[in-house]
Amino acid sequence: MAEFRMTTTVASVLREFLEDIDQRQYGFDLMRRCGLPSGSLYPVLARLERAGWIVGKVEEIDAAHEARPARKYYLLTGHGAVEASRELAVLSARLRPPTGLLRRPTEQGGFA
Amino acid sequence: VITFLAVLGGLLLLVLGKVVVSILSKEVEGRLDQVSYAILRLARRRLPAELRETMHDQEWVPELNYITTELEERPITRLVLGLRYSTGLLRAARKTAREAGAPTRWARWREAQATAFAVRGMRLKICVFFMNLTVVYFLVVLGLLLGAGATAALLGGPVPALMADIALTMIPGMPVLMIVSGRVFRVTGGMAATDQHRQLKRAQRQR
Repeated sequence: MAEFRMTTTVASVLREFLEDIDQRQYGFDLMRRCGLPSGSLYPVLARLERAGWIVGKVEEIDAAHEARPARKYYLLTGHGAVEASRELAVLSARLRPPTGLLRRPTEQGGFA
Repeated sequence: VITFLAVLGGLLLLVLGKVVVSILSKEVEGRLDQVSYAILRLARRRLPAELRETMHDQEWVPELNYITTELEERPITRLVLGLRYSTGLLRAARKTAREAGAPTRWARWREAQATAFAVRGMRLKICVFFMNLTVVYFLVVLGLLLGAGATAALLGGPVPALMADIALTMIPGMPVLMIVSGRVFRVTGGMAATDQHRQLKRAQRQR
């Protein structure tokens, strides 16, 4: 299994997968929901698939009958779901603002 | 009667005009949709051969087809979405391939080189050494000449003259090295070796 590098872009993609674990995720739909361009999303999907967190499958449709080619979709694997939840929790803890900054700023420019 | 014919003619012209405009707009629309596919084909060329089918043919094209046929009715919006999709992939094709585990171009080159060396052995190594030596020699002379010019323009002093002297001393060595390289190629059968080397690299790229 490949070494995994967690970034905020990866985290936003994983979050979409975790919203509904059984939901089929298509590339363009993920682009829209995560607000990522294709050039950022597809490397992330390739990385996740290589790490075994997601698995890509091609729709089983009759292309001639449907008059469109079969699209590829992605599903979160069991291992991916566990790892993604854990990594998102770690990232969330790392990005949480320090408690000292939770004071309310005053109009004069200082903190209450 | 003339008025009636004129009105009829006008109506016919109107209908004909509308039909022509409709046909033309559909033609332009179809051509515009093809631009995104053309860009995607360029992105395909940036992928290693083993990933072209799985990434471009099985994933990117059906996705672009979804964008251009099912998702959006308005032609301009469709064009913009399609272009954004395909240009993003054109930019990131190599990165996507790397993330999918494909070796980098440098790694491929090294692999091809190793195969060629394994096949042609010492003869090719000697030829490659002399080729590299000649190229490096040329680059050093060129660098010294350019460096002398640049330093003279910026700093002046004795350094540019020294660099130019070294370059001028090295220039007679260039034809000598070329003649020696030519002899080495002839003696070792280097031309045949480099040809085979090139063929092997091409075959490996296409694999």
